[in-house]
Amino acid sequence: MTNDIVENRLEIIIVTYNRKKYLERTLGIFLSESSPVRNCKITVLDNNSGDETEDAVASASKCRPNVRYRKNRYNLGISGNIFRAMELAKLDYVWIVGDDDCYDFSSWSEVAAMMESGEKVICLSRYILPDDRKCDLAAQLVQITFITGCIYSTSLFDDTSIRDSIYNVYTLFPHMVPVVRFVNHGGHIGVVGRAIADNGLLLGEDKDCSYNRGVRDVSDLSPRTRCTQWIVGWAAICNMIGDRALRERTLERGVEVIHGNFGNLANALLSWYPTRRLSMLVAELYAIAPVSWLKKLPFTIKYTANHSLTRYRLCKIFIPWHRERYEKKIKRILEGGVMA
Amino acid sequence: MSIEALLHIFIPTFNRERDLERTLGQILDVSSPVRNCAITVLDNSSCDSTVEVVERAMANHPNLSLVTHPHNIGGNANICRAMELLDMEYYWIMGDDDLYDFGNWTEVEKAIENGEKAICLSRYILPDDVKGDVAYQLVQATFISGMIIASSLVNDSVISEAYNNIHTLFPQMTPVISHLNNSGHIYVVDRPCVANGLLVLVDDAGGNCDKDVSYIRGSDENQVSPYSRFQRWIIGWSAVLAAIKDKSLRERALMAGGDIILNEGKRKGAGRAILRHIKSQMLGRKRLLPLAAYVYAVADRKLARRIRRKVLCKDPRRRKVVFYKICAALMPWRKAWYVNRIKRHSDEA
Repeated sequence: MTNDIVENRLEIIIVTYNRKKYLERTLGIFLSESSPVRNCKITVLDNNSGDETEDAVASASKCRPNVRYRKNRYNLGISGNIFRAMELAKLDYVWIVGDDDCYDFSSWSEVAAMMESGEKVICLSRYILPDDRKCDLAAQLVQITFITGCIYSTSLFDDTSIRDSIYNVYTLFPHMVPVVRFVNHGGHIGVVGRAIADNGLLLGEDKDCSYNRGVRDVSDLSPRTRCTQWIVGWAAICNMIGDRALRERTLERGVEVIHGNFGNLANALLSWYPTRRLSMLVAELYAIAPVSWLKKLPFTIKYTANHSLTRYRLCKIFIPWHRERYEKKIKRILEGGVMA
Repeated sequence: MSIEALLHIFIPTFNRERDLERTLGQILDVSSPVRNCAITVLDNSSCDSTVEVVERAMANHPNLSLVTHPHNIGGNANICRAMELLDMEYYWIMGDDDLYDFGNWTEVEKAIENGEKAICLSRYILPDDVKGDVAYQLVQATFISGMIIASSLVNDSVISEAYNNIHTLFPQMTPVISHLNNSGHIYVVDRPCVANGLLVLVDDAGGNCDKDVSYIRGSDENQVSPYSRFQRWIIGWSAVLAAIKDKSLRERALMAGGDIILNEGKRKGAGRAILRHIKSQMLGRKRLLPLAAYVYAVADRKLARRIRRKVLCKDPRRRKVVFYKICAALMPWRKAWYVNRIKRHSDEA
């Protein structure tokens, strides 16, 4: 009974590019007898792969009228493809799925119940949401950046959200825009008790996961696209959050997950962005950094965002020295227990 | 080869049935040389009678087709969509409200025959003194209706870059920039074939120039993200210019854009105009700082120094703190002054 409702209301869109092997595995999981979603509408959205993705889908979907295949004429990039999936979604709920993740459907009844009770954002993944963090909205938002880890209600995808999502393709997280708008209006994210989807990256398989995967000529890309990093796109998305405290907390959670602590972020920034042409990337972080950061990381954030080219060049010479000073300082702070 | 087999025309549109009807009339007119080309109207799910207008025209012209998007994805994304759908060797994305004059069409056909890859049909930014200046040509190329571009310039990296440049408002520039980076050039016609509908209608004075031309037309202004709400022509322009490899061209193109958009094409003092513009939009709003940093990243040395000193290095939070402190210090005095005044008033009454 419940499953009927899920089948009629949920559609699954698998975004893929040149990963035939993983796609086959994912389709196998979804279409197996034990899977609760085997009769849902499943669309494979192929970003113009060069391998035999189409054949793989065709052989997996034999006698399965609910599986469809759709190919983009060009490689739109991963974010562009995710946007396309959001645009194509027609049923009440959409689950956009990466091609290489792993699943455990044992607690699916919980999801079905949430869908029935009208929850609009359902988080299926818990690898950065241990029990003590489960109710922390900031951590929930970071968890949802994992595209497979979330089921959205398509009622969130109104014209304003869709337009803003495609505007934010450059931040790498177009799928976060409707959620952030929802949260701004006091919305709430439902989290499952036991994780259903897990990030395939955690399996430790060796594969190319860069955001520019499949782009023919990387030197043709603008520096914004070429050099952007998870945390910078994340800062741009956080900037949309209306509540200042939540905004800063969300950014901090992101740093914690990706870099561990501010010290590592500082070092990373120094190694990524030493020129004026990339100052906009640092400025995106600077724009929403909490006051406490500016005190902790005066050189990295403030200086790289603001300083002159001559100063950069001077700084470059002094970077090793600066770094050493930094490490000492950060150690001191850590020992003092301020950071904790 | 005839032009019909070479050129694919796209018309992105949203809620402008009257303008679209006029444009279609011009293109499908008996005297128009492109009336038999493949024409695709990309409708951003308009809520007026755009669909009927197109369908009426489709009855007589089998070469016309209509694609309706399920959502309003915004004008810039619609341009990307056009680049994705193209089928022929050349494509021409037309605005829905511009004016066409095909008197000089033979020159365009000749250019196509010669294998020019980027042909500029419009010259309202390019009077004779700057016609050969690549920086100004780039500014002119931002006008979508004014460019016919070879499809060979569009490939996977250009399309994904175009998607990443929707936020800059100029996704249509990515093929042109990649062409210039590979030492290509833009061919400019002698006599313009296209005039910008906006400029002409403003010149007419009394035409329908109360048109909504904002970049976020059709979505709720108060609900879009801050970057999107405060995005300005010159900031998007600098962001898209960052992809140009030649440093001097990058800097000159920024100045040329500032000159045309903010400085009325005076050819002098563009830097100052840009700085004034950024200051008025960004100063005191820390959250919008990255937008100013986009300009900072491509500006020449002099302008970059000014932006750094006047915009980026001002810490708005700090200035606010000082302001509040002063206010707090003056509070008792202000209170006394108010109380006195109210007392005086009531005494007089």
